[in-house]
Amino acid sequence: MAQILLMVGTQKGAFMISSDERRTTWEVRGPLLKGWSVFDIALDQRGTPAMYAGVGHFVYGPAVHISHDLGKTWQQVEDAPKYESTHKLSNVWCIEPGRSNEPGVLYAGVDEAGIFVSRDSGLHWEELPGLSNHPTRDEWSPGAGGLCCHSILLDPRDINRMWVGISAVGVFRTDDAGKTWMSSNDGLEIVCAGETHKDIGTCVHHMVIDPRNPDRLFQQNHRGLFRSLNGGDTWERIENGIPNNFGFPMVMLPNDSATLYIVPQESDEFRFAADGRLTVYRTTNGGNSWHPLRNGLPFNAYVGVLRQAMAADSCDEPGVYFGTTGGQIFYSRDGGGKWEAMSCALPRINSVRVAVIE
Amino acid sequence: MKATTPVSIPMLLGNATSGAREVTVSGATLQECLDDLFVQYPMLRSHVYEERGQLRRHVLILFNDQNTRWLETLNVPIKPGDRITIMQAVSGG
Repeated sequence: MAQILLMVGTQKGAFMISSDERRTTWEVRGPLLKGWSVFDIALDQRGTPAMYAGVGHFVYGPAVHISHDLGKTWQQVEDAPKYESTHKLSNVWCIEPGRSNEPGVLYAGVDEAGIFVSRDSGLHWEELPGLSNHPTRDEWSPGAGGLCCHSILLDPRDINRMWVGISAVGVFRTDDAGKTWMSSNDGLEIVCAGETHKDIGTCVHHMVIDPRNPDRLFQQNHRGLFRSLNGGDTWERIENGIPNNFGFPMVMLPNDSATLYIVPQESDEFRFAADGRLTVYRTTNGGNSWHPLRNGLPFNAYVGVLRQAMAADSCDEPGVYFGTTGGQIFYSRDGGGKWEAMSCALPRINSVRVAVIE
Repeated sequence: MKATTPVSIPMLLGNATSGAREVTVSGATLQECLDDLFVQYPMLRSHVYEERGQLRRHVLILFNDQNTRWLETLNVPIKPGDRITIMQAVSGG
């Protein structure tokens, strides 16, 4: 029977939460990497499974750790992402395993904003300086979460094309494997424009890509929900049914590109569920309309959900999971029809990923 | 003969020392001891120093009871019984 593994990054360590595919009883293991703020945990299943954690600490700085036993033990990477320029690397925000046809390749998005690549399964990392030294770089300003590159999307058709999302700066696309990057913010609302570069200053909070049609991108933005049907050349609003267009997480069902989930928040001033009514919104038509899902979710829930703290599994009856800034995990075993609370109270949850392990 | 000096490591940095909370280093001076520490345990360096080489703002390196941040030089001779401690600076609740 397959194992469902939730990889949960919190402000004070990682937790591995597992179940069989019925997803009725869960075993919680952790804290792993105890004391470190774990921003992201990625499981690379392209070969022998390897798990990668991007961590940071306000005293001791960032690090990358690797596990070859599904998170039981971890080894710190010696040649981790590190700027050779004057930029300062504060945190490793996201780690993305490369495409199926580039074994051993991983990408990492960091704060200060930039992207690093490893070509040897995470042992050594090199900067792709075309992004961190972009011509607009002098006019990048940090958002509340820092100057973070938090989203990396890989085009599965084209090894040279990818997109990144940087908070308070915007979306950039490369068509030459990271050598050069172009702004992809047409149609997005500017939050804080650059002095001379008027095409930056949008605030992408999280992005997802349709793996079946990689020209289709979606993003939860500081100023709304957006969709691109042309690889980021232009964006359009998709907010039909949404009461509050501010939020952070967004996920797409792995087996259904038309179904996505978000968790709106009241506003950028308050950053918790409006009126304490924690609610997930789902679209089943690619963003044309959204509908609330709150069966089983609590009242008086004055918590937020961070940008990487939501995930969906690939089961036939899809599981959807999210963690809150209050340390709770809620999950649905039927695509959002009914929600249950997991029996745990963790530190503030930074990230949630899920894997089905056969 | 160079002295052997103990160095206390904070628990959070145990990943960089294979779990050891105390390691020993060799050197005739404090500077040589620190150099040896980061040769033996290179992953410690990035947690103690910024990319440009400055001591991280909230990290303390104590030489016995002295905060090394206030020493004019790290070329201090090592004596038997000396101890180095790396720790988190606690600056508020």
